[in-house]
Amino acid sequence: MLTQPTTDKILLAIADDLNAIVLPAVDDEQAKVLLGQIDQLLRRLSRRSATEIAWMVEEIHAINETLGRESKEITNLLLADVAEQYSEVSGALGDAIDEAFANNDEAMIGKLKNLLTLRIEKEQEILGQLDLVGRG
Amino acid sequence: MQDPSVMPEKIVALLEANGASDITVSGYEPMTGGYSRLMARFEASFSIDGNQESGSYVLRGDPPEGQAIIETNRSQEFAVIQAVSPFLNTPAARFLDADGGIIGTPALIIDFTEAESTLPWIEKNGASSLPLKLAELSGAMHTIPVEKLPDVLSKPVSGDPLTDQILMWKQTAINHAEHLPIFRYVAAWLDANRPPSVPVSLVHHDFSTANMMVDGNGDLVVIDFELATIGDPREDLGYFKAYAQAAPPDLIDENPEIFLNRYREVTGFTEEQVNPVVMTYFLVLGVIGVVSQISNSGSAMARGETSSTGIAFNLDNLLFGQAAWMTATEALEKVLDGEVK
Repeated sequence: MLTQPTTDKILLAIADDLNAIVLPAVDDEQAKVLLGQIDQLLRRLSRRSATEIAWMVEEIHAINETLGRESKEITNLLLADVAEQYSEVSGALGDAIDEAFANNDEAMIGKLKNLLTLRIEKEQEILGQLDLVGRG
Repeated sequence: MQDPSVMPEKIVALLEANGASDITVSGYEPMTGGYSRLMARFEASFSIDGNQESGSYVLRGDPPEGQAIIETNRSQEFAVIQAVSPFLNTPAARFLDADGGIIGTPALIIDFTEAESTLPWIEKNGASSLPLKLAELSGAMHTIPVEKLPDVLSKPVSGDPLTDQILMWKQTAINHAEHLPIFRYVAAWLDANRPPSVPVSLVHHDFSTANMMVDGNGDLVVIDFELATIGDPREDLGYFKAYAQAAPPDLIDENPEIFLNRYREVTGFTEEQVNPVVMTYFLVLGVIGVVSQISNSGSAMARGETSSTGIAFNLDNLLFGQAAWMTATEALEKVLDGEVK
């Protein structure tokens, strides 16, 4: 398997070529809108592909630790399997949020909110600049 | 709907089916900016009910199956536009192909409005006149008598729009293709911090500059009622502010005092019922109608039931939203705790 250039770099190169070469050659307005959306998606996927498994694993451990759950070592790093575990702990986090609000447990709400804040920081890193291309 | 070589004939057939005669259709051209639906402009002349008509019209229809960003109903949209157009500056709905038997997809024809998209208009003319216009437009929309609206519009199941909306936040979190703890947090927070209630009214649910234009008089024109329901009118104000965060300017923030004073005057709401804090609360609450639709489409794509760039692109709006909602709840908490005024 050839790992270089890495997926993130290839996605970025495709986005750059679409933007610099394909887009100027397109006259159809709907196709231009679609290219604008594809460009943004590719750039986000580039940032995401470079880091998403590591980020999910890191967050799974952080959530388990805060909730006092046992955190097993994650040995299977297939994307779909890690995403499934990530969703499972996210569900547990959601349950804990409901419970903390129901009990008016401000200390716990604060701790859980910190986990969400960390998630949002990563999401914003992936998102970058949002341009609602195609809307009037 | 994208093929100008066949569409004029189909439009003629639709008009004929609605009792029109002496029909000519020309200049059919697909439009951009419809976002969730396909749109095209055309010129037509015809006779109907003994009157001769000619002008520009817009055909608005569903995209091919599996490609819709959100699923809505053209018959409902047609009924809503017909009900609200006597009260609002909005292009009239003229003809409907409810099942798509003639056009090829469920579609409606509305009048074309000679108006400019809001953002380009603001670039040329500035936004100073628009907070007042926005207050008048939203006030007019939110004071349409509920009994004049079509029965088909969904109403709060619980009897209380806030309860319904908060439940929708919870359900969206649970029904999405993966667990969404930020949605669960937002739902719990909204439940714990409810504002005083107001009477229910029409709620547009995609009330933003993207669905507005400015006509020759400098008045705002509102379009696109596909997501309308009956609910808490302040949902539209919150949604407007939420959308403006992603696509400025925020016309309410241009002059909040003028906006709020005029909006209260038109609706009769009190300062306790509508103020900057309450608008921020609804900034979060009011987006769930659109957000749940985006989530449903994204989940369908995750399950392999559908696939499109637009769906994937729209899911990114949720990332932007999650940050905005959490920031808003944090800011509101400080105000509610008396840390800031």
